[in-house]
Amino acid sequence: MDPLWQALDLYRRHKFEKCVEVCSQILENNPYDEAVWSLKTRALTEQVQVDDIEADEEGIVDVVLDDNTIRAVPRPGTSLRAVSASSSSTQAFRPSSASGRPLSGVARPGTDSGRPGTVDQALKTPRTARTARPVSATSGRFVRLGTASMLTQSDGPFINLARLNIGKYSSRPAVAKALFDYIFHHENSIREAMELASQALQASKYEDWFWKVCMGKCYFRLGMFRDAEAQFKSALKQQPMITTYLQLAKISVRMDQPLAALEVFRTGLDMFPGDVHLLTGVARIQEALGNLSLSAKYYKSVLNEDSTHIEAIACIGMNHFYSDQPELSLRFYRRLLQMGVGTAELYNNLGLCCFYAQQYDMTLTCFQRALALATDEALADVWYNVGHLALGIGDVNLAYQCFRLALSANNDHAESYNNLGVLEMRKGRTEQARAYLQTAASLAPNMFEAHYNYSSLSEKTGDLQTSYVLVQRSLSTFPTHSDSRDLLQQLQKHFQHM
Amino acid sequence: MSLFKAREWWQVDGRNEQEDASSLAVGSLTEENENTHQIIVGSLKGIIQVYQPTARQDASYGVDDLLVEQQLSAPVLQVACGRFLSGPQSSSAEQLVVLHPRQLTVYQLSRKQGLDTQGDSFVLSMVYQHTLARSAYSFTVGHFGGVKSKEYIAVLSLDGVLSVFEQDSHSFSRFLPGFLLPGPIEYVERNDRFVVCTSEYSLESFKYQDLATATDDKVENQNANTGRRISADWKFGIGEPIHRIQVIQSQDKDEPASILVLSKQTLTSILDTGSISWSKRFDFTPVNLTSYPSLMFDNRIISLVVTDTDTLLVYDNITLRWAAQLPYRPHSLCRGKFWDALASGMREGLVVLLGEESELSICYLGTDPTIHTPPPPDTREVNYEDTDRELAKLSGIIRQSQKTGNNNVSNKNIPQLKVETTVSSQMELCHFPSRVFELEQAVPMVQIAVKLSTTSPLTRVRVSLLATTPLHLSQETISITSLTDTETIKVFAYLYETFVVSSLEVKMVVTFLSSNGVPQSQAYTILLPLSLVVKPCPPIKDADFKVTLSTNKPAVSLLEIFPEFVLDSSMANAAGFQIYGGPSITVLSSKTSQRYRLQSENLPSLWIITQQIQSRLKQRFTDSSGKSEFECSYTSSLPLQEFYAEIDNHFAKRKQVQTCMETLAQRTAQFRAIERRLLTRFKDKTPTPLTNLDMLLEGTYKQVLGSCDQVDIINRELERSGANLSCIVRLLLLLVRLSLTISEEEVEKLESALTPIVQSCQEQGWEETTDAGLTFLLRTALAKPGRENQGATPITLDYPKEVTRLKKHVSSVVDRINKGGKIHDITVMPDSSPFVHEVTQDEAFDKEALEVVGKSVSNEKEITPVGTRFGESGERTRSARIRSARSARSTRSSRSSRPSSRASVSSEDDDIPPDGPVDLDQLDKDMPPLLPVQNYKKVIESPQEIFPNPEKSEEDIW
Repeated sequence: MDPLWQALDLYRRHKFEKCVEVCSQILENNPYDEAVWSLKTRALTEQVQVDDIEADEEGIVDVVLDDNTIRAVPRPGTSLRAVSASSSSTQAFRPSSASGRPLSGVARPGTDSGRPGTVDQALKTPRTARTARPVSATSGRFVRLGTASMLTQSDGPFINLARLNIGKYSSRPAVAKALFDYIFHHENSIREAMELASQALQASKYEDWFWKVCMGKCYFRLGMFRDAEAQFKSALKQQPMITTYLQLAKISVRMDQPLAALEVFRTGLDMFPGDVHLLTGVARIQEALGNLSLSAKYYKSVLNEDSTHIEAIACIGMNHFYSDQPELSLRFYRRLLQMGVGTAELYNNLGLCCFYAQQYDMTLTCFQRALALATDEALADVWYNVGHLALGIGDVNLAYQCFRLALSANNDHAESYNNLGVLEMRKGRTEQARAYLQTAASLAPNMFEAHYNYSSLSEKTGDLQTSYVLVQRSLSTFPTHSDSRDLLQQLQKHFQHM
Repeated sequence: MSLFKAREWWQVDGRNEQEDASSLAVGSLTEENENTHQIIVGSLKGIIQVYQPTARQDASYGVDDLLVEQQLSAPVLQVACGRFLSGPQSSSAEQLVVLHPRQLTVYQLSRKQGLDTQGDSFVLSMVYQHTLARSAYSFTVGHFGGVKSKEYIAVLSLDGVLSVFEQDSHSFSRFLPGFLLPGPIEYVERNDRFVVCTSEYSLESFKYQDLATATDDKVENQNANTGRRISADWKFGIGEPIHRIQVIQSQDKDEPASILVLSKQTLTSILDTGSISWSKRFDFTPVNLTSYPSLMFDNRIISLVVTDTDTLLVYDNITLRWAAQLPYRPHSLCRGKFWDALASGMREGLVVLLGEESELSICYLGTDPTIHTPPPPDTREVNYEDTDRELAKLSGIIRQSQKTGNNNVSNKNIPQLKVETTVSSQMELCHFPSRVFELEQAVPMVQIAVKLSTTSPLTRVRVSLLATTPLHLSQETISITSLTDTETIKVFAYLYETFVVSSLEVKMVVTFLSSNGVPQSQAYTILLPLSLVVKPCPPIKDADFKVTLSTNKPAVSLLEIFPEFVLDSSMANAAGFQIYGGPSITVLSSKTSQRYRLQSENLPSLWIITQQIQSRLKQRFTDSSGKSEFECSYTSSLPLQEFYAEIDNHFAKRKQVQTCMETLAQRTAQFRAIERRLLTRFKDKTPTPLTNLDMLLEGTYKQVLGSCDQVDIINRELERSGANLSCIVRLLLLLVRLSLTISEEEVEKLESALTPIVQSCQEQGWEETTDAGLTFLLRTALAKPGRENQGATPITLDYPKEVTRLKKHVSSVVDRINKGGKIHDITVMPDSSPFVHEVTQDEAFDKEALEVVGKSVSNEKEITPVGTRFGESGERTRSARIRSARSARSTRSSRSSRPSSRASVSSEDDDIPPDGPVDLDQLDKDMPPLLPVQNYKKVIESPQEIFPNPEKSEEDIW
């Protein structure tokens, strides 16, 4: 049997490592067999390729040295950077992440970290162990990834890019496309990939949309968003494709233009009605903008198309939970459990839903399982929620211990600090309470509770000035918080009397 | 991720000994059961099997289900069924076509009459065979050229030749253009075209007619090497590697057929005219596909997609209809209809799966739930008595620790690290770079030896040393990762700058982790010898600045006071000293009047000698019991005018630094602006002239460098001025003490307000801090009786506009002390002040600060367990932890929800009556009693500690 047929069969069956072995054997006998060479590049690429639309996290350098910003203070509702005013009313119903955005039902790359506006802000944003984000620029990280992949090959790199005659391959799309994927995904060498793509695009007389997408991807990696946008738009004019729409929307999000991204998704949905990825994209942006009900609506239409979509189920479940419908939420989470998602987070959410839906018998077992499954990352949140359970049944001692345990798992857990502060306040140990609340406020500046609690504590101990400062901070993150407003009024009245 | 699992209807369990089954097909090969299908499995070993499945109770397999198993001569690459016979031989049954690497064979299944006891047996008999000239990859079948009754075969070879066989004759062979690697190939019946997947990640369509006629040769043979270049009818780029394609033939001639393309991450439907119909992008990696037109709606296509997690997904166009878990991952699947003997009916649309391990089964979608059993949590047999006892014990401990709260772990018993410092008495010639060499031939240096010894092993020992500005150390920090026995560190101290020396003290802090992991620190002060900075020189008669010290003891010979210098015997009463690279000082001692006079051209330089004489004399007249009757006094006026002049100078220098920094900021901003413009020029697609921007860039660069140098120079001058200022302040303080005879304690307080420590490296300068300190003194301790704590303007720490106010404050402080004002502990804080509570509460913070900062000044050994307090008291559990880097995160399925902590606040409200006052009373009752303020110093120091925001906090304090 022909070894090439065997290699092709292995490739077809997704047995890439064996395929590479067979290809290497053939190439040893006949190093100039281009077909085998091309197959090997494809197999090597398939081993390392990741979906580059989803996995994209901005480093601090990318954010801070962003030269695509149009204006420093964006108009409300047009930016993901500033926490918009419309979202602030939801703080009462849904807690916010460290960056001040409403908490999402699913943790994705970048959901925790918002976009700080200035260098100062970026450096001041509490970079706790959980919200740490890469400091270096994306391109720099990928270069390092590239060198890492080179190390894994025992006898040097398969293709020596420095000696590659790009001009020779650019006119032959059959070889060049696989080669591009290899350079881009496996070697992570954007410069060579870009050169290949641009020469190939010329060779195709600007008629192959594939190369335009490739150019766009390269431009994106190099941080030249406007050029990337132009390439993607040109590619879309030639041939509308879902992937291209997603890439284009990703650029808009990256340039902090959520409305433009929504427009891209809209045109994409005109072309491909009901596409799950486009709908999910809309839902995510609406969520980040704080339009939670609209986001839930889009997630529901996602479920119409694909009823096994985990992100949609989790987000709708979360939405129900925070709109005081724990029973409905319970049904969504139970569906996830039936589908075989057995993570600590899920059991935790189930436990909470059971508790608030007054199904107390299940609550403890759910939390027990969550604790058994939880990794360190989730453990703090689980203990924190058990603490809530204890508060709910009036066992303050247990609650206190739970919050302390949460802190032992994650010493940056601002919510636990806040609640410990409240408990200490109740016990009358103002000094301890102050320390806890202060820590909470410095860890999560966007969490209004800590500011408010600290403010009311200061007010009670007679430190009106501090109280005044803090209550204003609380109102700046949540302008419609009525308790804060009352406190502010009271303080103002007091100062007027003085 | 599915609720249900596919149910098995029939399966070959474990009996299948084939290992590398490669191909699967269904078709009705027998004449009797026209409507039912047989399953044909071919393997790479060359074995071909034909099954006739029958439904049984337990979905099991019977021996008679296998109709035929036959060993062929070569590996089987692909099998298919179709009507490959015509004319007299044709029957209602289909034939089987088998592709070997170099052969294409068509077989017919024929029944062989068995003996009575045995049933009939079947045998595969060859009908015709073609030998292939090239290694084959795959084939496709169809009614090429629109011939309805017969099916032809097109074989694609590994090197891109498409050979068409019209039944038993070879029709033609053609090279496909631009070929690299073979991909899936299909035939579209409606418009008589081949659809080929190329290595360009695209689909190409070729007309059968074009292929057939594209030759110049008269005779067709398989070894075609020439031929006209065929061009594709249309071409459609998918943009991803294509794994499978399938053609859904249209019912109507006018309606285009659909070609379903399964690529790396998408399923795309393309019309046979070359335009896209719909597309579906997956979250997962699809492995396999089979699709068929929907029976219910027009133009809808049902696709069965197998994922890499062994799930079968049923899509209706792009909408997911069903998901079922498969028992294994199939590498081929197809649909077939089989006879169900139990229900005696035909079962259509059953899914036939051939697995990677050659499993073969027929499945249907049922509502059999997939049971995900989560791992059981750790269930131990619980002994309730024991656990109750343990719980009681533990909660006892917890209660105890909560009650005591801040219990300090005193660790003062035995110091774990013994530190001995010795300053060598021998001077050496300095061989380190120093600016003093510009003015002096030789500069001395002195060795400091630090001997660390321990009994228990210590880790991360770090010795930090700090000398005052003109003095430098050869090494400032020394780290020892692990200390087990004794270690000696040698450091050299020498003069680096030609400034006046304000202090000979070297501060040393040793930090380490003790054997049980507790961080600890020890602080020391080392005194350097005077001879390091001063050398003898001939005395000068007259000078501008003079300081006369009167004592109550007879004057001592200068030779005795300064024994370390080699002084002429003539110098007993008049000695000259010169600071290396600096001014000289003359000391005169009067035999008759018990006085000493120091004089110099430079006021700051007087300090170091004055201080030395004063302290040496004091030491000399101190007897063994430590009592001293020695008194020293100063009677003439204080050098305030010179002090003011130096303040002016220092302030002017600070202003210069500021302007220099501003210039630098402007230059760099300009540089960045030019850079940006240049970059846009370079980025521009069409090259435009640079219009001398590059020259501008270079010019600006030079300007930036120049500004940097300027800043450097000014900074050095500022430091020099700072050193002068520091010396004068110290001298002034000394003279104030000597002339006004105020107590040590008061001097200490005055010193903390009029600080001799001049920092030049931070934003906040000496002028504003000193002014703030003095103003505070004037408003509190030194205030006129009855007018305490009344200030018109608040004390701020802003950058001052001018320094006359400071000078005024200095003179009034001196004036008031002169008039007998005492700097007492301040008790003037009115009890009614709303901030009293605040101040008392801050003591905890201050103590910590003092423990670290304050004790370093004192010379005695103190151990301050820095980290233990926080850790043990539980006030802040935020001890330093190694923060783990975040690993790359995939999309996690669900996120734990955090109910808002608001809930906790509101729950508080629920417990107590809704209106606030009750809670307030409760709080007031529980609060510790208010304490009077002990020490005013704390008020000055604390703000940053207490309040996160310094600007706001000052308003609170003052």
